[in-house]
Amino acid sequence: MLPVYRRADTLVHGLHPLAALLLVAVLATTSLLSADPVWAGAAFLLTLAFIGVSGNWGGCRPFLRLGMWMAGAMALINPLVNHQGVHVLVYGPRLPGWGHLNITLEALLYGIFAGVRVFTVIAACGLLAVAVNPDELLDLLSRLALRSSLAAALAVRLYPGMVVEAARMRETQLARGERLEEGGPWKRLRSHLPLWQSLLRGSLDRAASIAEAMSSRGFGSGERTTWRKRTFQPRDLLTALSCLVVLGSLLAARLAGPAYSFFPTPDDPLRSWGPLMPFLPAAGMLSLTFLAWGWRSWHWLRSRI
Amino acid sequence: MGEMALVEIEDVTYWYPRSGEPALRGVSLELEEGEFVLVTGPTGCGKTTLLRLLNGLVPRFHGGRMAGRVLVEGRDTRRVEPGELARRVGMVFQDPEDQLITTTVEREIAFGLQNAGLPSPLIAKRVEEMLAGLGLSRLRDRFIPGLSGGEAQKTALAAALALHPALLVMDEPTSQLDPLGAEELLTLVRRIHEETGTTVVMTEHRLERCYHYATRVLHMREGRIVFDGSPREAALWCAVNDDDFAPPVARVFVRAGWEDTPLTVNGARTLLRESGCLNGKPREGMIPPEAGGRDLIGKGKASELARLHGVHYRYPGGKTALRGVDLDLRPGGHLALLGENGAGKSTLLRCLLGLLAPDRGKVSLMGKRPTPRLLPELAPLLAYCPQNPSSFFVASTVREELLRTMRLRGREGKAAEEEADGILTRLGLEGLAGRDPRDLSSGEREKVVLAAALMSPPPRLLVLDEPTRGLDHPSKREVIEILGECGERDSTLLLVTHDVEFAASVAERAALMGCGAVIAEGPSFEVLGDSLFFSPQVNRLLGDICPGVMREEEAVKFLREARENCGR
Repeated sequence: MLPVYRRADTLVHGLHPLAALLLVAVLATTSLLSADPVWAGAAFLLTLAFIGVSGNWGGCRPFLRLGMWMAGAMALINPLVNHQGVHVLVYGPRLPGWGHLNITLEALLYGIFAGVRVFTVIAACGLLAVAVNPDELLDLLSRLALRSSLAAALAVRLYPGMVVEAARMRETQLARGERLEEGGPWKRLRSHLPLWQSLLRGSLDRAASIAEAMSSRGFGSGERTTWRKRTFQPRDLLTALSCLVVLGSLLAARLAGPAYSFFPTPDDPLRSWGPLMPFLPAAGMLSLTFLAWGWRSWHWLRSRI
Repeated sequence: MGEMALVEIEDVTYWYPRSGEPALRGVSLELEEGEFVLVTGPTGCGKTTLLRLLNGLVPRFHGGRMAGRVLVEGRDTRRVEPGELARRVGMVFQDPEDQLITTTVEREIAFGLQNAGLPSPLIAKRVEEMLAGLGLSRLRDRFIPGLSGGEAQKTALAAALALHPALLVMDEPTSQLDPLGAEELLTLVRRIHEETGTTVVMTEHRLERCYHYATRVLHMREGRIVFDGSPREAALWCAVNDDDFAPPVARVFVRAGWEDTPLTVNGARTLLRESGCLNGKPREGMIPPEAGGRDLIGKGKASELARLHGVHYRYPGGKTALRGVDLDLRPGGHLALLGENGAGKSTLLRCLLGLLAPDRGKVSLMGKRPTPRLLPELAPLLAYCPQNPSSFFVASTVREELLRTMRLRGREGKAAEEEADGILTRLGLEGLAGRDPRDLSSGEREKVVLAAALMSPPPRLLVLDEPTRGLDHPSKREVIEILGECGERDSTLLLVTHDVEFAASVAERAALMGCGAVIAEGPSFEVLGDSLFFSPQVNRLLGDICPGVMREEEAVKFLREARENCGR
């Protein structure tokens, strides 16, 4: 079961949804948009450090596990399907319609690089899921699309109930004597089908009941107001500034020269960086980690931000 | 010109879409400000439809045809903007899970206020007011799926009250709650009614919980209001005309021939004291302790059927649910397992059925260690009725559901079909054979699950988890009758319930659980009789003067004799 938002005392939980959204966007996009292994590595380390220091390690663990599997799969599969690169590590057999199954150092490095990027994006999304209040986030987005935001909020609200209901149904059917645990994947899939159908039917009934409850509370009748509970605090400003520094550095690095390439041989990772460039993103990233640490461990700092 | 009523319903007849029969037939009613109205009646009599009429959900949301009109504060509900009506009529539905929309408690309270277009500072004020007033402050940031049923229902109540409605409508708000949560909610509603003068209209199955709060009772049958009067008059009328819908204390007095109809245990004891019937020593021997005449310890060895010995279980999240539980189920015995939410009852059931593997201790079911892979093998010997019957249903009709059960027990073909049809007829379910079981009422669904349990071969062990949750009194009576049939077939019964009246009617043994352990176990009349809160109402009424009285028939017998002796 994927984790869902839980109230906790961490910096991310205490941020204004706009600042929290910016933070997660920076963690994800830094890794996703950059073709540079130094950036990707830094984003990877920052994301892990930030999740750990901000106290969200436990909540994000299922996402980190998923990210690890996906990163591992990419690192393994890429060298098998990508034959670019000049340094051949293993000479494989020739496969009909495929060619030589050679594994190159460059393809292996690129696979690891792609895996690290995917891992970072999944971890950042995990942080968003467990530490940012979906109601507040969707309230923020509701100016653009109220109904879609509400639908998303309802999905977040109903998902845990659906998981519990699915587990309850499975247990009941097992106790009834259904052979749900037997056979291969195909047989198991078939034996679970009636349960899923029933679960879907139950979810549709629940959706109709929720719609009725919404109607009884005046939803869809007249202008709706928003309730802004949080105001922008110094911590939000500091977080946003740090994020902007990191994003700005990334854009500057992208504009400074051609994109990094692994093939035919990997480029020099620092070739397009000016003398001060590494300090800017490092400062931004460190200040984010420092804020997360201060929120938990330094009362003076916390009381002032 | 007289003062205008808060609600006026004028000769309303209403048909749901695609329904030939009207759900309401010529209903006329006036509700005054400050009333606490209890609506009673059997399932399907139109109570819920009447409630939905008050806030315009009928016909606006449900569609269908309506004749007559409904005025709230003098304005026709079909002509008022739904948002405006929502501000005047607050609604709390039956299932907390189906009515909460957002993810946290304070956001839920704010939802209706935002829909009403209130400015942000006023929303903040109202939210704070509700959190403090209803004792929800400590839950303000809590994630809604993590709330208990009682907390969730209190949140729904707060969300309805935040709009400061003139009328609060509640449709069986406690039917999905445990007794503690139900009591807390009803006490809160009574306080709101008394302190704010808000008009309350409520339907409720457990009449003993709220009859005495009401200032007026409406009794419905087949879409009509057949009685409208004070609670005392209604109790007397129902006890004579429709005794399933009188509160239990009033019912036993009327059945025993008393002219007075007390509504509470305290009122009844005052009446008995004034009549001189409470004087003297306890009348031992009048009611035999083994009332019901069942064998108290069952027959044979526990190890043949089911046994838990020193069972410990801790959930991966860290919560210890069972601490050294010892429990024996002897063949033919009926055991009720009671205790508040979180006491470990459901975990015990799951360990017993092999759905959870205990951390320590031994579990034996039919002489084997239960596991999910063993359960298909045990299907002909074991029947399990879950708390929520919906999780039982996977087929598209009631009949298919029964045939599926037969298949799992190794029986197919013409004989199986005939037996399925036979049992549907015997339980009065033949008209529902082709219906989707999920579309049935709570009582009908429970009966279908029990029908499946009764299919042959008769199970050696029948496990029931909260079988009376959400059921009205007639449905409960039917369930008791069906379980009596299981007893005749020598099936062993393990019952998990919060309903002490039901436990006293069905089980001759009871076990009380608390903090993951069995705190007390023994004959029902001992475990339940020696308790202030886990005892049936008739026992609280007469337990000290007539030890062992657990069931209504026994109380009626005592009260009849007492009346004759006192010359009343």
